[in-house]
Amino acid sequence: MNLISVIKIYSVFICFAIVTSGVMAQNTNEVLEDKVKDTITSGKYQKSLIFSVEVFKPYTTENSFIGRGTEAKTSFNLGVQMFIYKNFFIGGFTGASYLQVKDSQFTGNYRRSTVAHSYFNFGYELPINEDLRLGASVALIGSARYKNKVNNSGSVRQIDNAKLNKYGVYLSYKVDGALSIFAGYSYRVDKTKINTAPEIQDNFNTINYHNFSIGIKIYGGNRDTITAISETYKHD
Amino acid sequence: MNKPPYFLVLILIAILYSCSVRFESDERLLTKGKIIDSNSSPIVGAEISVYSRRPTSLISENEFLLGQNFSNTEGDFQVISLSDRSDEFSVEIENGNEFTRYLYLSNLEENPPQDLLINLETKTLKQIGRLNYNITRTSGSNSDLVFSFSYESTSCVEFYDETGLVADQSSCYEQLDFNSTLDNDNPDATNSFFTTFDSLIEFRYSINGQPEESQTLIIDQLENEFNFSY
Repeated sequence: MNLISVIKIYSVFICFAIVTSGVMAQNTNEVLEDKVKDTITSGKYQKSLIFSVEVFKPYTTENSFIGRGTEAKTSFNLGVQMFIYKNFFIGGFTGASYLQVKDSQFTGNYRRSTVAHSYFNFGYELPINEDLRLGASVALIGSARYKNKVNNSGSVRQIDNAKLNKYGVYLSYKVDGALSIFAGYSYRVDKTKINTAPEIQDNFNTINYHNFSIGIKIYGGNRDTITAISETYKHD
Repeated sequence: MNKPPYFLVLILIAILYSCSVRFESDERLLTKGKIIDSNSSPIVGAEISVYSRRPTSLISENEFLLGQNFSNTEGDFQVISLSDRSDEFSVEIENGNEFTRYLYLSNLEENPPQDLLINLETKTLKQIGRLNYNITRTSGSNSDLVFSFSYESTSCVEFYDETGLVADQSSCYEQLDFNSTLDNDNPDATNSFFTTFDSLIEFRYSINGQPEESQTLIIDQLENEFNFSY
């Protein structure tokens, strides 16, 4: 599936989510803005936790040798987000992605990589209305481990390590009760620890990805953490 | 209940562990250079392969391809490869069957490359020709012939350590000698060998113990014929 196809599918999902959630039915921008403000300030759609499971398709960029020499396959990610104060959240995620080497002249001779990653992020989720929520997040603490397999069994291998930064947005749509489906985009930068000859070092310093994801989110609770703690102490 | 055979488990773990090969983490090696022919013209499309030989179990070892690339239109090449601190590290340069092979050897365990760079500078591959020789006895029975060919080899193997080229472990286009005797049991000989283009082959012979004589041949085609009768 190429990048254009993924973008088309995303457009359909976003249009579907927006239309069915009733946002397009608003007559004026003012009414829409008022409604959004209302949902933020009222805490009407406040949640405590989100469990996420997603599959994503990474696209490596051409600015690194590993990006040029590999093709990413469908990958997965799962994690939990916790609302700390109102709609601000912190989260922890883990998962794996898969790279197929298409030109080993850029990478060194191995067949494929399994890239295990984990990261902590923080962000904000805007409840547009009861059904639709828009989130944005930044991950500045994370790591990735590239297990590069030389043979099919993986008994001959090599490891690359990287620090991971990720910047993402998502749009979730409530399907039923606590269950929502979502689509997201993220830009990921893996700052590798790879050492090589000075004349090609720049080509190995980072590996960048555009990620397009879909998945499910299960929302739980109705209070943010700080409010829950303060209320607990109030009762005491 | 019998105790589990712990020593067997330990042996099994040792065998399994030894089957696993891991190259250097977080490293890539760059091997670069230039390939020319005997006329100093760049050789395009020569294949450069970087290998490491490693034990794969207690009783076997394998050669692993770490990286591979081809020379460009200027004869220049860069090979990005995995990195390995192997005591048997090699870089092989070849350009089909019509050219000589070059082999770079080093012990990277004792002599790790500075800056993860191996610069082979300029290497020459020479064109190869084959001499097909046919020696027949025409002088009747009881004649014998002692003959030899002296010719240039088609391989260049260079071993490097931290001080540079180690001459006594290297051999590049060495002069080879091949001797044989023809007699009643084996009166004729037909065979062939490869040598480098434009090199001289010396054919020396002695018939029936007479003083040795010689002929000089030049290889200037892919296939060369040499017929001799005694």
